[in-house]
Amino acid sequence: MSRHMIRRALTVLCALSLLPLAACGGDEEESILDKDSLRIGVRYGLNLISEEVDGEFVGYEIDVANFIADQLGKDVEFEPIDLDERAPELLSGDIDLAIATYSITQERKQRVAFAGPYVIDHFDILVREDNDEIASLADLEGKTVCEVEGSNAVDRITDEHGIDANIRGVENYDECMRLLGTGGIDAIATDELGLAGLAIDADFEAKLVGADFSQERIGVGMRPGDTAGCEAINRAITAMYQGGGDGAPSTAELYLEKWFGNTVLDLSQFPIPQFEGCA
Amino acid sequence: MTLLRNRIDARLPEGDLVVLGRLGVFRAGGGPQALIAQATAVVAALAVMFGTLYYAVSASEDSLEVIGHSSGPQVVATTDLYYALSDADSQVATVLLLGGSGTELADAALSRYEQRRGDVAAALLEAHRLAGSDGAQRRTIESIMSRWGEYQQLAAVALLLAERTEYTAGDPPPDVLGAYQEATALMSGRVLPQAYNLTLENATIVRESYDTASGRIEFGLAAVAVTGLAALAFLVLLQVYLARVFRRVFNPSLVVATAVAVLYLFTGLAVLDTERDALTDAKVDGFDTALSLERGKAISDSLHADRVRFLLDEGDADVYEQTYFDKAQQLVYVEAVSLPRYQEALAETDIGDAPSGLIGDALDGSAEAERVFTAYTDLILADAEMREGQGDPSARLAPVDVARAEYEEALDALSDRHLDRFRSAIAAGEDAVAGFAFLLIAAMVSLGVFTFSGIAPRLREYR
Repeated sequence: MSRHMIRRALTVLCALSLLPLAACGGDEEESILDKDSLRIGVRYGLNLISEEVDGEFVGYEIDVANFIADQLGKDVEFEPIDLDERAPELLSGDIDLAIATYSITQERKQRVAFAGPYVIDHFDILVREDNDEIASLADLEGKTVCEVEGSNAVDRITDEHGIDANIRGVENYDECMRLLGTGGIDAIATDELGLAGLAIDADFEAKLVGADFSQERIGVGMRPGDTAGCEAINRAITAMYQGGGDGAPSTAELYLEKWFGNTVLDLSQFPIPQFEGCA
Repeated sequence: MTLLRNRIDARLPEGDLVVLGRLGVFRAGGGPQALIAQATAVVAALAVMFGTLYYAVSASEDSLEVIGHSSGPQVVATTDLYYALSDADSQVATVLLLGGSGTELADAALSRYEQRRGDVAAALLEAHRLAGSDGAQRRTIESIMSRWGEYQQLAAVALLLAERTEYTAGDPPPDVLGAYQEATALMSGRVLPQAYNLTLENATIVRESYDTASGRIEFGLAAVAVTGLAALAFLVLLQVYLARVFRRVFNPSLVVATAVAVLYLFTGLAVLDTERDALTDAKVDGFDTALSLERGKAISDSLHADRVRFLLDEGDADVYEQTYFDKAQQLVYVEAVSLPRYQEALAETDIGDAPSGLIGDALDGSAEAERVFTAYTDLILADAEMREGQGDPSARLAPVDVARAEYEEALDALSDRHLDRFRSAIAAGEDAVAGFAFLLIAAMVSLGVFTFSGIAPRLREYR
């Protein structure tokens, strides 16, 4: 036994005498995997995506949330949240996950963590059917666009693409739709899944411009530091995208078909999401 | 007997009782059962010590196997696969951008595409081999194989159409573009995500294995120390007992047993500590950084593909510019609202500002890291100039390609540094435990023999 090894072993013995103290520290980050039930923040009043009907949440994101919770073996409690509440409620611990049209951006990742994405969506523009002035993103120059606080669609238009549109800030997308109907605004810009839901519910004719000006990776918002929880959600999403064998559609494809099969969306284009990666 | 003992007890001092004992007339203490019980306690404590040592050592061996020989290398194999796939798609886009074969650059891109096809085949085989008996991974690899086959057919159609149609560079006709869009949608929407997620899945397996092994090693260190010290205490007590009862100050067998137990307690703790260090070194300093860089390489590859698609596909150029921006920020995060702002902010960022991101996090202060950061900044700025420029796409792309080659070389050098560290830490961990399990069994048997041979002559005195 070399002197080096003796020193090593002695160091370990000394360190171990302090072990009971250190073991009480318990500064490990809490994981969603340690919980029996998950509080999941979801959007509300979004047709086809997430809305409360007779006291029950229904929609595409609710199906995704239930699938993930089921794969993790957890019970679910849904908590309706606004767009700008997603990060604060995650960080304060009011909700464990946010499955709420939450697109992953590098800027948002500086505060919260993301599992997934579970779907790749595109930003598009919704206008009245009779509008023939707006056919592309550039046509928004000088036009009035609705903005709901917490959404990054308008940032993409004005900051990234440098288009000088007038912005009308409102509380929610129902208000946007009301204004679009009355001519108070010219266009609504957000992800195409959301727009498809708005269009199908409108009491006037509306259409998608097909601008597809941005690719949005919609992920599961989490508190930072829970690597194991994030990886478990990614495995659940992988399972969601695995086909039933013999070319049978995957659960993810079935969900999209169930909610958006009768809308203007072309479902054949939906890709398999490339994960952001945990930690 | 009890009656006799009580009577003698009352009359004789303790020391005389022992003398009587030595003469075979009377034995103090609890008789042979007590002796056997004490020896059994020693052997039991030693057995628990060796058991936990074996448990912790075998956990670290398993983990070294997973990290060093299956999932760890699979991370590298799947990023190689990603690179070959993504670069194949970039080369097809380049050929189509430049107007089919005929020009020097287009022919070079075409031959590089052929080369990448071979690389993809080799990487798929390697990934399949490393997946071993993991059914889910094998299914994913098989799905990549079949979709890669589809991609090659679609790419062949696009290349054939380009070959037949004469057009100026940078202005592909709609049918060529349409055929390519179908191919690249398959590549970036189906094939590449599966390859990338496979890399992440293996990183998860490595982390889980590391967490399990470190937990067991920590437990092992505590348990080996406690049971080892208990065994030594029992050995000393046994010695004291023999000395008191039989007036044998020195029991050679037990002394040897004690020495061997001390030796193994220290060796065991030292080996576990070495394993802990080797695993941490391999995982945290080697693997994690190498993983970050390997992921960075994969994201860089699709960054390059987004650049060529931006030039090729005017209709979707906005989307490709945004995905390019997002990927650039994923590599080196600098606060910015748009690509032009990012380019400006990056130009003013110094390596000392410690930017985050897949590449940012891996900048370890080495000369290689410095080179990577400089090369990355140069690449983004060359790209900025290309976006500003007008006219012949091959002339616009040329300086970016030079910057890209330097960036990739620098990235490889930094990644190799961490992969070397990873491999040597795995080797160090394996060396430290080589043959240790066999030695443990031998040591346990010999300690048992020494302990019982130590008390055997005293047991005979009871007959």
